[in-house]
Amino acid sequence: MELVIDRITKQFKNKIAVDHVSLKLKEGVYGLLGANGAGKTTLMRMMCGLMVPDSGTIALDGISMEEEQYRDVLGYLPQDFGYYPDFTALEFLMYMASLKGIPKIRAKEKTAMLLEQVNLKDVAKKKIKTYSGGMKQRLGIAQALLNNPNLLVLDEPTAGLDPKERVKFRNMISELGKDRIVLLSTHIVSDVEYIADYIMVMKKGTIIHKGAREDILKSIDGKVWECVVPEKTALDLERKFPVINIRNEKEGIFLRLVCEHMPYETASICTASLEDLYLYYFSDEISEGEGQP
Amino acid sequence: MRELLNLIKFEYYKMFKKKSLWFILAGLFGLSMLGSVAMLLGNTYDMEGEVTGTRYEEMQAERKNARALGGRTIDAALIQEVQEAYRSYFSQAEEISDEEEKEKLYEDTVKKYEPIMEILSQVYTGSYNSQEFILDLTEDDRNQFYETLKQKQKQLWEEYFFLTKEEESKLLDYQQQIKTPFIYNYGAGWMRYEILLYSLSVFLMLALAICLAPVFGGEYTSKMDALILSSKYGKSKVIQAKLIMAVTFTIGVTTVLLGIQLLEIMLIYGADGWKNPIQFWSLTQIVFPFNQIEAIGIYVLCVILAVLFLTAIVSLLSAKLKSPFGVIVICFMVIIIPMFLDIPEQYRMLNSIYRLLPICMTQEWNVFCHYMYGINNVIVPTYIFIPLFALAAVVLLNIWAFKVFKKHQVA
Ligand SMILES: Nc1ncnc2c1ncn2[C@@H]1O[C@H](COP(=O)(O)OP(=O)(O)OP(=O)(O)O)[C@@H](O)[C@H]1O
Ligand SMILES: [Mg+2]
Repeated sequence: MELVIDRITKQFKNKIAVDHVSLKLKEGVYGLLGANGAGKTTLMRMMCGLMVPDSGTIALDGISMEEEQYRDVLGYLPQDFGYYPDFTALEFLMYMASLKGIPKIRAKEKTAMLLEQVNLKDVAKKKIKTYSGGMKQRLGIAQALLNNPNLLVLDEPTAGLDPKERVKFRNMISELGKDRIVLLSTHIVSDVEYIADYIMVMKKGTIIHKGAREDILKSIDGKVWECVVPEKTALDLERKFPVINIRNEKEGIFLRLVCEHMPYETASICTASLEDLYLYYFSDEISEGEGQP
Repeated sequence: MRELLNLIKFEYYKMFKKKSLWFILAGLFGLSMLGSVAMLLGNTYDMEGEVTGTRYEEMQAERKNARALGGRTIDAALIQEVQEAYRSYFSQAEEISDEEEKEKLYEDTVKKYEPIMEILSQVYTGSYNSQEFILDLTEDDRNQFYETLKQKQKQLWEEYFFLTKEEESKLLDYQQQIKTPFIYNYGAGWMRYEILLYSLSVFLMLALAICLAPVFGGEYTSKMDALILSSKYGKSKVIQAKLIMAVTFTIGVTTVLLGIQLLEIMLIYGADGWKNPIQFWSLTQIVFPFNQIEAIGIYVLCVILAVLFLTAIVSLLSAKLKSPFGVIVICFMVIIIPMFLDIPEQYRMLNSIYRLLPICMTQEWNVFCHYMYGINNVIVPTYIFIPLFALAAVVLLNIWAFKVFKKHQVA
């Protein structure tokens, strides 16, 4: 199984949302990390045939995304998941099953199973409009899995899930990633830290960094430092380097930052985490963001 | 096939889940019922404004009167009979001054001929309720009743219509096929039904526009479009299912509504007169050779196709616009504006196009109209062209709607 994304591009008026992105994905869980507006949703919509790219192609084992065969093996959870408020979860899943061409008997079995898995069995016969945000999100995840997809595209699947459900979800995804392609987008680093086998960092429409979870951190290994410094120095360092963490302490200001060399004589080196990496790449955008009202 | 049926079932399910739909349907059927009895509510009054009875009683009396003449052939002999009755009435009435007595005389001598008199009056004078003319009819006049009628019809189309030579000669052909002599039968039910069909169509179209506006647009507003269009059948069978639902729902509601309406009318007025010529609707205006039941059949077919035409427009707009509300607004305009629009007939081209708007197709005077469609010798009357045009429009608009939803970009 191989998903090939070849120089896919999408432009909105004067803004390039996705810029010549090329990827080859095999079985496994892929985490697509990116700040707001990086182009994650746009890329995923094109992968699901919801948006025609300006150029480029997407194909799964040679089958183009425009074809029914492609959609037959696709599972998709949109970022803002739509539903029919007056449908019950059961009805909704049965409807989704009919959209996916799943025979009724199989659909019933599968629906019951999934409702159990996402912990909605007890409320399966209640109208969706009575659900909480997290419950709706779980229903969304369930519908994406109905057709046992080879390609599972999840746009911010963990949004709104409580910690317990989050853990459950991670386990579910790890299991699913064994024999299919799972692509999930998020800007919550901890979501992908444990479950994604591969991580792709998207920024301004391009993939600026990608690799296996173990490898990807190598790029900032030995560049993450922690130190406690006087206030004046802190301001100076903050201006010069991407700062990941900052807090006031008795002896001065505690800083965690990314820097090629030792930034301060008392600084100690520490193991890089994915969050460090993310903040390292998006530090410019973060400070821009902070500057806005 | 099974999958498609299942999807159609879900489309119906989505629609019938809405409470508003039930209110609209109930309102529609209520209106139709009101239409059936509207003419029979209230009282009748005499000259001084005194109540003389109910309108229902009046209808029953008229019906009794008319049924007594049922099956009579309208020919020279009958005309003479009517003439003699009136002669006797007028000569006796001259000597009576008491109004009440005069009225009694009227009832005894000529009242029973009223329905025939109305027909004769139209043919010989052009007005509905002249009486004196009958005294002077000669034997020739009586023998030439049908020639006079046809002459009047021809005169009307020559003087007031902007017809081409081809249309006029085609009208003459149709006129030749009118079956004469006419046999009279009471036929108020059919005429009432014919009149109701137009107003019923207006409400039906408004109701269907509201009900079907969300067929595609509802998916956009509920954001289900992303899930539908990324699913296996989202770009094929689901769209078919939606369109089939819209078409079958339209046909279903329309036939049930028109059927119930017909049933109500027949129960109230009676089904007599189904063999009456269509000319009884308007003697000098319609020259097509149909009887009432044939004419109603053609008219109902035109209404059904016109309504389907409208719902095809609804489907297309629903796929194109961002929300169902805009669809309803535009469709209401498409339905209502033409009702107040008058495109003068001398602008033949414009007028012909105007007549092909859905709402105009449900107007009796457009269905059985002198104007025809086509070029030179190849022309067909509106009652043939309307259904054909509507059918073609329905097919094309549905294909178009299909493509629009299929290509919809989720953003
Ligand atoms: N339909 C649209 N019309 C115009 N611009 C759009 C449209 N959709 C997205 N964009 C722009 O494209 C860029 C990428 O948007 P996208 O939704 O793909 O980002 P994202 O990575 O999913 O962000 P988020 O984390 O907030 O979901 C943004 O700048 C956005 O403003
Ligand atoms: Mg997004």
